Amino acid sequence: MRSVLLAALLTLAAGAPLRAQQQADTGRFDHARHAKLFPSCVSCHAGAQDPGLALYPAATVCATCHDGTLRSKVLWTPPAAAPASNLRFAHDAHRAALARQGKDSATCVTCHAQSGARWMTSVRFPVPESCVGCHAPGGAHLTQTDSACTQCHVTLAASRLSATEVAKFPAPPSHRDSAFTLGGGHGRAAKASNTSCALCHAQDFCATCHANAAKVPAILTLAADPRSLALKAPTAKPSSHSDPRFDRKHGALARRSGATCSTCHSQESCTTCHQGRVPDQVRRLATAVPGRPSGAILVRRPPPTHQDPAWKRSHGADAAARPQSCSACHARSQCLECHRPDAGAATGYHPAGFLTRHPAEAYARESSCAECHNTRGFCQDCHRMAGVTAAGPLKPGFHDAQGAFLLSHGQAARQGLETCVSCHAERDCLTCHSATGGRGFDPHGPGFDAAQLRKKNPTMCVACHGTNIPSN
Amino acid sequence: MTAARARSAILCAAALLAPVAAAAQGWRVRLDANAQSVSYRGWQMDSIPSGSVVSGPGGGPTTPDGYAVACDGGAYCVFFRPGGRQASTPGVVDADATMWGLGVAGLSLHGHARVGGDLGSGGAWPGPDRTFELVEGYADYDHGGWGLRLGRQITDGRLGRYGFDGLAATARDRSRRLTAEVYGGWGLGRAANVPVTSGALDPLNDFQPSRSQLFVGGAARYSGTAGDIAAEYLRLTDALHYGIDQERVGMSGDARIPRTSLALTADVQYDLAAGLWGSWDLGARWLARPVTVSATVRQYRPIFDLWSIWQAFSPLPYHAVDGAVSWTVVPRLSIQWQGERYWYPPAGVNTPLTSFTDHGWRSSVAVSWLASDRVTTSAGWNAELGPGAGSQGWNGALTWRTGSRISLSAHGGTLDRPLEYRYDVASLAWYGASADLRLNERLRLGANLDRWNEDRSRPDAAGISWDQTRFSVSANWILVSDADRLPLPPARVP
Repeated sequence: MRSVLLAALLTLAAGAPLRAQQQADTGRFDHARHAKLFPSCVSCHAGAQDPGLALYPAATVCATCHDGTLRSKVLWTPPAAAPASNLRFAHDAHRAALARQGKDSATCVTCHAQSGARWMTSVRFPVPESCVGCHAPGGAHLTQTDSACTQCHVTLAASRLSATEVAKFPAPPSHRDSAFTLGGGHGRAAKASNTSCALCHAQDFCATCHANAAKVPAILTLAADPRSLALKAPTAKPSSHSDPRFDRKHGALARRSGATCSTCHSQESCTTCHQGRVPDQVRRLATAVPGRPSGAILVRRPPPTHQDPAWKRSHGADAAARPQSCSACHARSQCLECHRPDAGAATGYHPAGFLTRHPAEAYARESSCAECHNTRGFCQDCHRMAGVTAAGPLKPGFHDAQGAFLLSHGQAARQGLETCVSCHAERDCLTCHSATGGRGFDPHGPGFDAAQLRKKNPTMCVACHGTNIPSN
Repeated sequence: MTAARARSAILCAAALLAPVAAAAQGWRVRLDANAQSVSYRGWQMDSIPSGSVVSGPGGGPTTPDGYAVACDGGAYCVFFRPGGRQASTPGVVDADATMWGLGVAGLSLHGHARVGGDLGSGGAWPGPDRTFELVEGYADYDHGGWGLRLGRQITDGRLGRYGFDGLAATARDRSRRLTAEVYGGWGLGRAANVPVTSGALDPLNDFQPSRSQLFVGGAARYSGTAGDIAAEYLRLTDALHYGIDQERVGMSGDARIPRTSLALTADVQYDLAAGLWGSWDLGARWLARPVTVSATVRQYRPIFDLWSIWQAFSPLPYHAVDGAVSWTVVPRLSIQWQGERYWYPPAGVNTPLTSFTDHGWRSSVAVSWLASDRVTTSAGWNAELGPGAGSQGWNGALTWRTGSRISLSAHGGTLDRPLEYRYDVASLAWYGASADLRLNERLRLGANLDRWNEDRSRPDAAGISWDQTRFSVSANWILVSDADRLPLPPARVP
């Protein structure tokens, strides 16, 4: 087995230089070294004059001199075919056209050599300026009018260029203007005539941006050609999208001119954020089902309002006033991850270590604990197990930093009653604050409206006063 | 609810829903499972004869072994000694299901149930006796211009989150700018999945209504180009005596100032039952990237049902002014600050033997730096000091992500927490690590391990330690039918 592998490796290694030599010999012919041998081009390139003949000489022609005796042998072989290009050109037709126009003075060197160069010292493939010099004198190659392009070029679909060669297509100066690429200029041009577009582009290229490509006539008239993807479309977002208020305004813009949005956005672009109730404008967009453009792929990010450090606490008023705005991005179940009783799956609302610092938050509530926690079922239950609830008649001791707390707790109780009742039951307070069974200490303070409360629910009054409820 | 009743309820619900689910063309189920292990030492009240009390190092009365005692002139003095070790392993599984495509356009079913319990034997966690809870379970019919919702549901308006078993109806105008909603039924306890009659809401065996509450409410909202406004109303009535337990109305609105980055919000509640203005706030938010500034003046007033006696104790509101700034210095670095100062009105009571503060403040600063696309660091400081308690501490975190699949985080912090009513200044340092793994779009696993080290600077023997190691795991699993929307790969014109 080893010997077979070794032999295979040696064979490959030996073959590689030979192949390299052959490749080198099929390279460019050194015209300058042969300048004194050939008085005319067509002596070798007969096909340029007669389409029935080969454009390149056969290898045997070289061997008449390079026979190994007179000259060293060469392994040069003519190209199997003319180089792939997207040119609309044939030597014989070109010559005939020139003849019809009385321009017989044009010869091979007019296009294939630099002006004024010595014979066969600067042979080259024609450069575009050679063509433009006759066909559109006074203008640069890439600044020609659209109709001029088709004089010399065929469409991408009709060409035999590889994707690598397509990627080297130079961009006309007009394409560098943002008004052309993103401002709608290219769309207007394509609607007027997309013939010149097809020289470089195909449906696939357009679909990298146009989510609605399947509905745009100018795109549909192009051929489908994956080689067009070798050109990269500019994907910068329109300037309007950079407006800090765009997040808020884009809904109104979409209602006014949804067709514009549909150029780049599919339903899937929008549902990146609009995961709640999907607006009607979104439903009108194309869907990125398999086989159709995905549209601009967006990254879900919070709007500027959510950057407000106080947002977590203060978003209630916004959410209550315009819930439809929230529902554009949030499903109701997302809200209920926090806003449901004793949120089981909610994580991250309270910071790390909150359990140990929660007394400070609970005494003077930055937000209402009772929005998410039933203070009886949640607070009392835990405090009871921790041993901090009153388990019998009130005694001094727990509030030990204030020796006379039991006698002077009124202010603290009115300021933090929600906190008091997380440990104390009503009976603890009625020990003193009851008109019937207690010591008769009046608990009523500022804002107490006896008549109002009695009218609404006398149950509370009965707890302290029994049936003998004062009239005011 | 006993375990037997819970099992029966689950079986009944499963029997009812199974054929419906089979018929539904689309469905989505989300399972959230969380479990954690906690342990701590609480307090235990104890007493000694007054004659056994000695004078402590500070001159105050203590037990012979150093516990500060409180005596009221009786035969015994009381004190708190460390209680026994409490351990618990609470676990909760939430299942949230939605079904649609039932043959009637606009009809869908929603259900959210919770199964919980203590996986250990300690039971030292709130609510472990509630084995099964139905958080929501309703049928929803949306006809476009109007809709109905029948079953157990939660209203999530500005007046609070209230659950009820009943019917809600919604109507919208053609432009969908105006929406009106009314609802009513049997109410559940505030922020609870059970009625106020449930024993789960009466851990101290205190006053409790004997009948459920009747719940009615409604809301109207208008959304305009320059702003939005909403009005809400709710009423909870004692079903036995028809006394009103809660009756409140609220209004919320926002306005966008044309050609500026300024937005205003306002929110006010009035307690019709107590005849008092409830919580309100007025805020302004200026959004001009890279800076966001907001300021609010507000009042916070607690809410108590009138079936309890607490409203008669005249709980005070507080007024506050707060502000917040977020500044994205460079795209990867942001700084956030917020602060608030609040104060209470006069309490109308003399406390000559004690001195309490009637104002407080809180503030925090945080810096977040996206070191690379994969590494995020953040650090912050927060402090609050006010009546009853305070806290001050630092915290930081380092998070590393590998794409969108794995997130590893290390975090730590320190905290001092003075308590005004107890000489109990505790210092806490904690550090830990967490991991988040997204196995795919639908399955997510998480784990967190924390170690807390506490130094309770208490001048007597009751300076017990809350040192503890906390461990939690979680899993979120979303099950969907093929009708649900899934992320699509980029596609091309064929």
